[in-house]
Amino acid sequence: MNNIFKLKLTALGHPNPVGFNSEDEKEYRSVVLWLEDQKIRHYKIEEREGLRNIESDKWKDAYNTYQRDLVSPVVEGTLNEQLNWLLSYAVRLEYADNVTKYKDVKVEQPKQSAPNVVSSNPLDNLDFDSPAFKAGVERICALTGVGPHSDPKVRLSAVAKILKTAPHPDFPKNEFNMVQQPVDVLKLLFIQDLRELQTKINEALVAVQTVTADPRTDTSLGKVGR
Amino acid sequence: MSTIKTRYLVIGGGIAGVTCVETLAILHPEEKLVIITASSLVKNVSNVSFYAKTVVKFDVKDTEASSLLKIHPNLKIVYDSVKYLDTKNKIAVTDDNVSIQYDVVCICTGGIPRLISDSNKFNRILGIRDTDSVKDFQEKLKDGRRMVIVGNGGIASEIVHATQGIQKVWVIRDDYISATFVDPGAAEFFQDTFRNKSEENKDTTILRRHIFSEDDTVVSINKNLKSAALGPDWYRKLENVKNASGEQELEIIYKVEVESVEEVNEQEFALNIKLTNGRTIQCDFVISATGVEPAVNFSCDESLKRGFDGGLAVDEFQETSIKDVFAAGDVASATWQHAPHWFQLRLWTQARQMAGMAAKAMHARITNETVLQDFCFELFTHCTTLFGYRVVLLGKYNGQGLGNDYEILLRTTPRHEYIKFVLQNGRLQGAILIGETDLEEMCENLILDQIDLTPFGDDILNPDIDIDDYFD
Amino acid sequence: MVVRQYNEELKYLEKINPHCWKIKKGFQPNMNVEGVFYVNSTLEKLMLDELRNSCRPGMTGGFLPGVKQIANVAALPGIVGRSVGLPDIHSGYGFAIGNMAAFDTSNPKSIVSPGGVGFDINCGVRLLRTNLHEKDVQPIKEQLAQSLFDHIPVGVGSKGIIPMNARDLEEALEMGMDWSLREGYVWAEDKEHCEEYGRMLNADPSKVSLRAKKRGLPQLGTLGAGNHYAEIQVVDEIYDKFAAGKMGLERIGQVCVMIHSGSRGFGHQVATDALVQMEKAMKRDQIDVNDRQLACARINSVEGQDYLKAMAAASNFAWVNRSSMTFLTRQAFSKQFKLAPDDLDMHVIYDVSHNVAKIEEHIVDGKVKTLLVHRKGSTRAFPPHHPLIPVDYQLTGQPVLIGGSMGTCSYVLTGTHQGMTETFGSTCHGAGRALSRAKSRRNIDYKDVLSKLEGMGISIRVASPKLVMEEAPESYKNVTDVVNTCHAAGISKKTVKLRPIAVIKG
Repeated sequence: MNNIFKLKLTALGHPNPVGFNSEDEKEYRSVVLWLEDQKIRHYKIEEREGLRNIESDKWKDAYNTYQRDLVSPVVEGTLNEQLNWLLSYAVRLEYADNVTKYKDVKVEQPKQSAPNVVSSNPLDNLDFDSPAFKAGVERICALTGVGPHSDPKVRLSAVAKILKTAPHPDFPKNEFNMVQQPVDVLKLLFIQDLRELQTKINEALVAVQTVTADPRTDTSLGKVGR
Repeated sequence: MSTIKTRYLVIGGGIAGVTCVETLAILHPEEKLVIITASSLVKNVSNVSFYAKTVVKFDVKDTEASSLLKIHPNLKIVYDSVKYLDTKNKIAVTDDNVSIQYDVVCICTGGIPRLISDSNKFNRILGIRDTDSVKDFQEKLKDGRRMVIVGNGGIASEIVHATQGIQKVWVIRDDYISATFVDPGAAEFFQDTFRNKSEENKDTTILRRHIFSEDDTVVSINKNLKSAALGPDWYRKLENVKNASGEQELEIIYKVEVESVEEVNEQEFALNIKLTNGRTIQCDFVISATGVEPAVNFSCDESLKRGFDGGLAVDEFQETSIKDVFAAGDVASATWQHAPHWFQLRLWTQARQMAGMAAKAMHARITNETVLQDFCFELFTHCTTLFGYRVVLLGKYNGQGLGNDYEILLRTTPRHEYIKFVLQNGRLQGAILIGETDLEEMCENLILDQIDLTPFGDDILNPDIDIDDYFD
Repeated sequence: MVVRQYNEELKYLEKINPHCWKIKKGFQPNMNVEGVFYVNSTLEKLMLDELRNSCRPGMTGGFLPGVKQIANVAALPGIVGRSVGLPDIHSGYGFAIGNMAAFDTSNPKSIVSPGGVGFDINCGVRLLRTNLHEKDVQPIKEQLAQSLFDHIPVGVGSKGIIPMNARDLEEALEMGMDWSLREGYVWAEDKEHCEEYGRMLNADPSKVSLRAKKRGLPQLGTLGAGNHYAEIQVVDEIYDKFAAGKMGLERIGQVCVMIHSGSRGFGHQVATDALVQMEKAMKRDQIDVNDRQLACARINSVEGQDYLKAMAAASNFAWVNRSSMTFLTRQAFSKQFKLAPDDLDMHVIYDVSHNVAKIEEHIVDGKVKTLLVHRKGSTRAFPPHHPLIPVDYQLTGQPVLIGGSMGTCSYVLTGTHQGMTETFGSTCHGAGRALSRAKSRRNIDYKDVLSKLEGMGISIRVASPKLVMEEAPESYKNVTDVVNTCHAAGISKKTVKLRPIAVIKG
């Protein structure tokens, strides 16, 4: 959790994101106040008094009220959950305030330590946002009776669930290819997952073998048979 | 008087002793092992072929005992004979007063030929079982003109088959030849073979290797019949022995035994053999090949329990009545509760099986493990070559122990194959397979499985059907 | 058996397409379902000739023709779909070899029959590939075969080349290929490319008799007699480049090793023990069958369950056996070429079982049903995307390995959707053999032999000369005919043809 806090605090420009310890009551309260003062600014300055009294016994009540006022979904959650939501909320506000600034920022992909496998599998390079993909999903959703959703991938997984349960819905003959193609795609994706799983199983077996294996043969016993 | 200490001790350099050493070399090569052998030559098994799970054919030849050192790194060979076994203190004492202290011992002293009653009186009566006597026999054969062969076992059969240039009279107690190995039908099959032998190619049997060499002389030094028994191929040596003048002739007299033997001077032949049917035969010498008796040629502090045949009684793990004393081969008498299709016959096959079992049990004793009796004791099998044919005997191949309550199913093609099934209640109890039949594994399975074959009737031997595929 | 004229018999048979005949109800008594068999014109003639011969006067008893055996199986309680005869069918104990039959586990009367599995339980074929070419192997194939050969254990006393004691055996029976894996005899990838992942989970060694264990103990790592063999083969022809590529078979001349073996005496003992038990169960549960050899028990009876558990143990035994030989093969190649086995790319392409009964899910009349599928001399052939086949073959369908009779060609096929619906995902297993492999005509003369034996007072029967028929039918079923029929009928698809260059016999 502390790691997430660190990330978000850094993004928000907190002066000491690395040193922050959420377990320390005083630091926790200070960060909440800092968020309201600098980022969220939900209250007028004079309304922030309850939060500002970090040492007070009534701070907790003020904090609860503050969260309710923000309509936080985790008022009943742990302190860390509460803070995390608060931080995320602050980040969202920060972004909203500076959309133009952040829009074109490219996130630099961290270099993976594992060798970068260039997949020859066209499925790995599918553009889930392309209009063709969306249209295809729309078509099979209509056939399979899957309702609308903004994310075509979510609809696709719904289709997959339906197709996995037998018996499959019957399609009109002329629609067969339209259904079959995505079915094939799903099967190929499944096979890829399966291969990865099987490879991991094999690796596990080999790891065990390094402990247990002791093949014994005595070739001196081998004699010329018939 | 020197003392040797060892974990394992094996007494005897015959097939059982050597197999025991070989098996222990595999099971427990790091432990000390001593073998006591009277001869510098020991038996060595080679060319092992599995015709089925329990049907194994192998060749036996003599090798220098020292060759065993290559198999077993911790082996010590003592060229001597045991005279006294102290089972309480676990010490074996040899003729040369060497004491060997052991943890477990396996007695593999083999057997001695059973001779006809008067044999000890005359040196013209030869007990063939032993390498000594073969050498003797060969000498006699060189200037002999007529011999009488007594006995109906494999060795007698082989002598008859393999000797040339001498007249042979074969005296058989039964009304067919080769009682030990084959039945009258098979005997007829063989007779047909050597009736036709002269017309056909004379050198049918190919001598695959030379079996006896100058080493034979070394062996003959060992008296008291302590050297090892003959292999299935020994008679091949005789095939080259010729009698310049004598023509070969064979007469078989069935259902007769030797009543007495008399040595005479003033006549063409040295011996008069009187038979129980009243007939007297003159001959140069007599070959007595009437089987073997267990050879327990040492004394013991405590008497080891004997089987009805005089052998050392052993249980299914080849252990005698005294703990840690095991026995295998001809000297042992199998007194455990036999499996329905197994019985003891003093053959090399069984000597090898028993010795393997003994070694496993000895190893288990030392290492505190449990062993199961080997599966080969579930089914009697023997594989040999007679008159140039492969002969495989399985289970109760002659209806042993079945009384008259069994059926025979037969298929034979003269000079090609002879197949006999022994059936009781429609189930296969035993079989004789002569020739290249390829039925070994199928018969083995049918006997072990005891499947009811009644529905197949005579078709089970229909040559147009590959019956082993049916039971796939 | 119903005895009818051949022409009458034919009325119950109907050719429904060029490669498939239907056996109608009534051909044998009490048939619950119809029978079916797959043939081409050559095999069709053999099939009908066999029936015709059995209709000849005096041919009672003995061996039932394949069609009759298929029909008798169709009369077993609980059978669903059809009793299927594959193109390589030939007479066997109870069930013909090359017969597939499925039983509905939800029907309490459904049975399991040891005759439907066979004696050599989980007899099967495994194929290893290499990255070698024929020209690499041809000059040293004798040495290579010999070094494979050298590893065949000898001797009663010896422990075998892979040491195994009674405790190891117990574990191996329970764990199957996982035992080989644990001990380091095989690779993790081998398990992935093996039917059932090389282990039947319901195996219970305590249901196996001591005699069976003793019978099996010294046999591990051995090939076995009969039609068992290991062959060094080369790719001779590729019919389906994509599927072959998925199996790592890329080019003509590529070297493979085929291992064909089973559970040997161990399986025999398990089957025989079960047959004895089931005869009792049949009396108790009043199960009637057309042929006594079809001894069976209800799947849910004690006898039925005990058999399935023991059979699973025997299957595991067979997998450990094939795994042991895989290990020895890799060692031999490695030694010969002085390269590590993985540098030689010696992967297991697949491992099939063709004598086994398994619980599987199939669609019967539009509903998913759990069936006990007996395959005897029949190979499972699941279609692409079936969940029980390895991920690498999800797109091609399950590889099906068809060993020819020793020394002839072998094939790799793949499973098809049509096979899944028509034959419960089953196809052929090899060349059909039972009858007459051109045995030399015997000149049988018993007179002298009989006269000697008669003195013993024993009843003597003679394999009668009349059986050596004048026109003994040539009914050997060529593996190419068999495979082509399966391909043409659509129940599996030809992928690769393999040609042997060296044979190692057990």
